[in-house]
Amino acid sequence: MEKILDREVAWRIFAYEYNRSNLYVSEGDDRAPNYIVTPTGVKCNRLFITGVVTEVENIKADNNLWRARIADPTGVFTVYAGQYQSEAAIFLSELIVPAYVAVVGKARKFEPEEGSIYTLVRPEEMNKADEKQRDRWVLDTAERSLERISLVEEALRSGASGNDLREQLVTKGATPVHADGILRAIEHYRNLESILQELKHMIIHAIKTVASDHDANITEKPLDKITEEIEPPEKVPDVTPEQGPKEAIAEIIERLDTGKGTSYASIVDAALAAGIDGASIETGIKELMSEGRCYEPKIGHLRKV
Amino acid sequence: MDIEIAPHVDEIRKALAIEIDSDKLAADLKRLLEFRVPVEEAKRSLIKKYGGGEKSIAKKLKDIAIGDLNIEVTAHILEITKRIITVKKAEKTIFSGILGDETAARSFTAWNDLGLNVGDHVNISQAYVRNWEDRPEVNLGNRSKVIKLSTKIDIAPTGIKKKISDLRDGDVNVESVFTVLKVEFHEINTKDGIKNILNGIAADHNTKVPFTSWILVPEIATGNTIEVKNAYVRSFRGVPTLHINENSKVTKLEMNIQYNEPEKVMIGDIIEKEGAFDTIIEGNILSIRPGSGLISRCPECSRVIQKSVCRVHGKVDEKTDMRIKAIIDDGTGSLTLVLNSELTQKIMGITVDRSKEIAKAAMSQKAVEDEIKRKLLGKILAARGNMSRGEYGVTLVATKVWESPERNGERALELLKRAGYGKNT
Repeated sequence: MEKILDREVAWRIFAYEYNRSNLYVSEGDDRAPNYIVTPTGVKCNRLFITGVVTEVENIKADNNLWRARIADPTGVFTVYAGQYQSEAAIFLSELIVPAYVAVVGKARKFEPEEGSIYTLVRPEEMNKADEKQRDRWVLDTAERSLERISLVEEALRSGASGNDLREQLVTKGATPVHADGILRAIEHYRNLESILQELKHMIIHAIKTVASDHDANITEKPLDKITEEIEPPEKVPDVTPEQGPKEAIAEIIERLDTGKGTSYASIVDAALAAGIDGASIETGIKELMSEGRCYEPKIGHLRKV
Repeated sequence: MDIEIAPHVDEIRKALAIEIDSDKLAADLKRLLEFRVPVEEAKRSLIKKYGGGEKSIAKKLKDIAIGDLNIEVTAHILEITKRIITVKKAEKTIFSGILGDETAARSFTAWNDLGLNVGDHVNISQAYVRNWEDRPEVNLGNRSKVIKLSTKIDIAPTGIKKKISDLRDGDVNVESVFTVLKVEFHEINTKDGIKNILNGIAADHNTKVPFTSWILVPEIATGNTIEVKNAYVRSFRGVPTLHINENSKVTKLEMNIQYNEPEKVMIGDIIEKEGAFDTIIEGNILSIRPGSGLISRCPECSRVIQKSVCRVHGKVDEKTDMRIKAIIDDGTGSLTLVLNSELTQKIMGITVDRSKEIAKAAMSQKAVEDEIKRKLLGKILAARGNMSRGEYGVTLVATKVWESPERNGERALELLKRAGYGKNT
């Protein structure tokens, strides 16, 4: 009996840490999950954010691709939702900013050129939230982040490496996966100590923004500017890794079919509406036909086999 | 001889009643492996070829695995209950219970009356192992042989000292110290008629587990802190349960262990365990799984059904009900939270009738699921219940669910202190 894979935990990470992350690892075969390894050693495949949407942009008008900026007290997450995240895309398109939102998403990278990695979020679920939920998220994220920082700091201080360090981390309470992430982070990030110091600083700032609402002795202004703001380049990342246009067309042909096939024109219309370009539609249909997956019951009509 | 196949050859030799030359067996085995025959199948066919198969492979109970065939175990009967089941519309009497050896305790089912009694020390051969609630269960079928042994149970003089939180399914000869939080009499039907047993809750400083005592001793009373020797552990619905029987020794201690209910546990910590009893967790709802919202149940067996057809009872007059299956995640781990009808209605603030109206207005049952998503996705919920690990991952079936009072301000100050910052720094 094959056990189902354990669900990847949704990490609580501040935008500051996430945006500083530029280590991407992929383990094993194609179906193995990919991770963004952050400076505190999180092997992040999924994350949970509660923040404020400050901007929603339809970056490809003919294509249903939406980009949103979601701010927390330390920085801004960039979220992309396209045709394959249609629920999230619809949610974003109807949103009036600024708005509190909760997002469960996959950690993704965008590498416009060799060596420059940007971290993005591809939403799985989105919902409206409120201020209390945001504050709670800030505190949960702060607590989790501080725990991770102290593990990494201790690892750095110990001077241990390799399997010794791995074992030491596990006895200190790290999971084996997190221990592995910490080893990778230590190897990859130069000046990790100072990155962690800055991160700690940001975490304190984030907690203070919550505390200042409740204790008049604590005052905390929002950041003047976001340090090392990362503006994703205008090039658009591919948000369709799982499914090529061909599969999308196959679905359209099946969906539109009323039993007698569907006219070529209406398939093209539907495919264009789904954001697939003309050339891909043509090659997609050709390939489906040559693979014997669809046929022409009469001229100008297509039907799935 | 090839190092890799040597252990397999040994195993084959052990399974045979007659002596066969190792090299000959190795050559035969290699030949089969060259044909890319799976190792297990190759071994089985060789055992058969040399007249084996009569002799079972001796195993310790801790080593048995689902799918094992023709095994031999030597164990004592810890419990046995007569049950009447319906097989192909005919009633059949079977016997099920618990077997224990020095390595583990496992459940068993005997499909015929083999005259087994509690306390018997037996050698069982030609038995097989099936899956019962995701755990291996020894099955005694028509071909199984049972020899009653005159030797007494060989319990190691010193038991394994375990904390309540360390108890695992299958543990035997366990020694533990705990406080009895609650105890109740129960009447159950056994092979020899009605028997009184005790069911209760045992606890140490921070963990609770259910227990069952097959003996009625005065030491097991609410509030007593007791030491139990030679007890064993079996899982019931995925939660480890401590069993005390005739062979166990119960002593009342003069000390008192005070149980302090933990406010909550981190999900990452409990999913490491195989099960947890009456646990409190808190996390964000990250996904509402299909099959949440308005559902239809068979009125006979309460199975969830589609289109008024139950897979056991056929066409039925379906009963409408509600439930939620959700992923809850606190940043350290995630599990599936199951809310029953009552809890679903409470947390959603809508009744089944109101849900029916919502579904009717939208002409879709999915409308209720969407309503649940709108209300709960991203929210923080706290829940209490039993956690178990099964085929579909880790699940917590809630007995209670609530929203914790907001205390962001206080917590922010606590966190600042922990991060090494006082006020105004």
